[in-house]
Amino acid sequence: MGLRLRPNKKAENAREAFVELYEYYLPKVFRYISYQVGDVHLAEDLTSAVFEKALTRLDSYRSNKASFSTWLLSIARNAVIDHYRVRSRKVTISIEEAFEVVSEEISPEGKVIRRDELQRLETYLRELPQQEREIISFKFGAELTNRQIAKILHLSESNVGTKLYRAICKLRDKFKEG
Amino acid sequence: MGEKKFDFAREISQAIDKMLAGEKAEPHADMPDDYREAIDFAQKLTELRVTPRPSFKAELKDSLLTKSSKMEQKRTEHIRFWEMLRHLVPQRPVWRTVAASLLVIVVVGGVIWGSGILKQPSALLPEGVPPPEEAPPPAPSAPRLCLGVEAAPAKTVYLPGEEVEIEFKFKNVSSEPITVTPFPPVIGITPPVTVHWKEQIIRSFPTGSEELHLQPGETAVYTLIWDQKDNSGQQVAPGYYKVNADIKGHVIEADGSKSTFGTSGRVTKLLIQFPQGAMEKNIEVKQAQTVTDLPFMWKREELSIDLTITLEQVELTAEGAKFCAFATSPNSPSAGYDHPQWSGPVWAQYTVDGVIKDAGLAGMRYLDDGIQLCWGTAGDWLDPVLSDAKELTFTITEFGEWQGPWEFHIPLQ
Repeated sequence: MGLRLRPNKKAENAREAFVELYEYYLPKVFRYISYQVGDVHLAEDLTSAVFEKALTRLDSYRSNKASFSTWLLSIARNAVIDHYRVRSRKVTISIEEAFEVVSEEISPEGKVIRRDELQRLETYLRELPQQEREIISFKFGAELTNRQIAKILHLSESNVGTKLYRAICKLRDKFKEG
Repeated sequence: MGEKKFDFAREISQAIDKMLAGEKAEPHADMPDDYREAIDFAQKLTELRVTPRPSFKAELKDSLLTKSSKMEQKRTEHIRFWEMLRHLVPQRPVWRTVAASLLVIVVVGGVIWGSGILKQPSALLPEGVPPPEEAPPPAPSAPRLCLGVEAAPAKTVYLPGEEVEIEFKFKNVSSEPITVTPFPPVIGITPPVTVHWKEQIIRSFPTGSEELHLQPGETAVYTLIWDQKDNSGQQVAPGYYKVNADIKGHVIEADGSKSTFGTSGRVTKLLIQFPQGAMEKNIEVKQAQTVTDLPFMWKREELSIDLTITLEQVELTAEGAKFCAFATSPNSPSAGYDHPQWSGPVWAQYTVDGVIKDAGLAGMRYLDDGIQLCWGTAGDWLDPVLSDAKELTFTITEFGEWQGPWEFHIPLQ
């Protein structure tokens, strides 16, 4: 199905092309959702659902209407919104758990510090207004440009920049206080 | 003041984009302390980013590839069916009429049969005996995580010929006992970036005939020794190598039933360094190549644009190679580079003394006047270049849907 994204690829390479795209976009989608839901297992479930939906709806993707990343992240955003619409339960498992499996190169002491910081970040993110949290998620999670974020959130680019700066300052102040 | 504030906010955004692309962000000299602190904190946020677990990544990839294959198969069958039907329909009008009449007869017959008019009462069954129930369809097995796999080489850089030691940790993360079988599992070594997307296993290790039983929460360690030889017994060339594992097994559920699981994908990577060392050099290339007449859809009209890519810098270190370029179009109808046609994946390869290596996808950063493209950044280095290499060529093969090449010859001397 990756063939549809890259019309120049030959059919026999469709599988490989799909794998390349998956490797490229998975961390971005996963991180965006992790910031939004603050629960690594839930983030994994929603990420799976996003990629499955993207795979089945790939035929409806039009490259002249939106970039692939904007299209994919819009599906991710809707998945998060739908999740909160259906289940407004409090999350129980934090994003810091994800760290355990990816940080072999950091010392045990460093791991403890990082885990603490992740836990605090998760708490402070929840205290941000929804839109600011979403901008942080798009920027640091999905690595989108302000222009791409502006397009998804229907804001002006400068507005995104200002809100991003404001959200960073709020988080920084909370970290200082904490 | 308001205008100045906006400019700094924008500069902070640009600094973050740089950090995310793996570059160093230098704050503006006139920047107030508050903004500098914001940039520092943004750096911290960048460092705190989480990564998906390798086992999750591998499981989801498997599941998506399976689904994709099924969809493709269904699509092919669908096309084949209609093709077959098309061939069955006679071309001559007389035969078409005959075929249509036969079809009507078959359909009407089917309806009558289905309505039960022609059915016999169920006299074959003795009275009081209920008709046999149809077997229920097998319940779909919900994908779930039961095995955590971590792997790490004893060191990340080896010299040719050195024994590579890779330690695998298998952890049962489910609440039921699990069995990994076969054990040791299928393990293969591949170059990390592949030429033309064709993955090639250069060394596969024979699977074991044992089983690994793990209780909930239990961890087992397995050490693999690789002599750096390929399947034909030859020493592999220096460069990065990834270690892939294909692990299968089963879980014994609380009710005693058995359900299977499987996961595959990259578990770790390592570098085999050149014995004579790698080239360590920063080269300001500043070469520009333009491809003209590329189709560009603009307000439902197909226009032609030119795309100039300037290879700006090549960074060669013992860790690997990094290439940075800048793409711009002198005649793009859209203001800036926000148009979807600018956002397609950009693929490249590089050639060192005639040996082609795939550089994979570019990391992209959108600026007002163009797009910054980088390969081998954010710790995902490309293979190093030999210290006495003579020729290095970097080729951008595709930019989204546009075919290149944009080719650059990099002076090494």
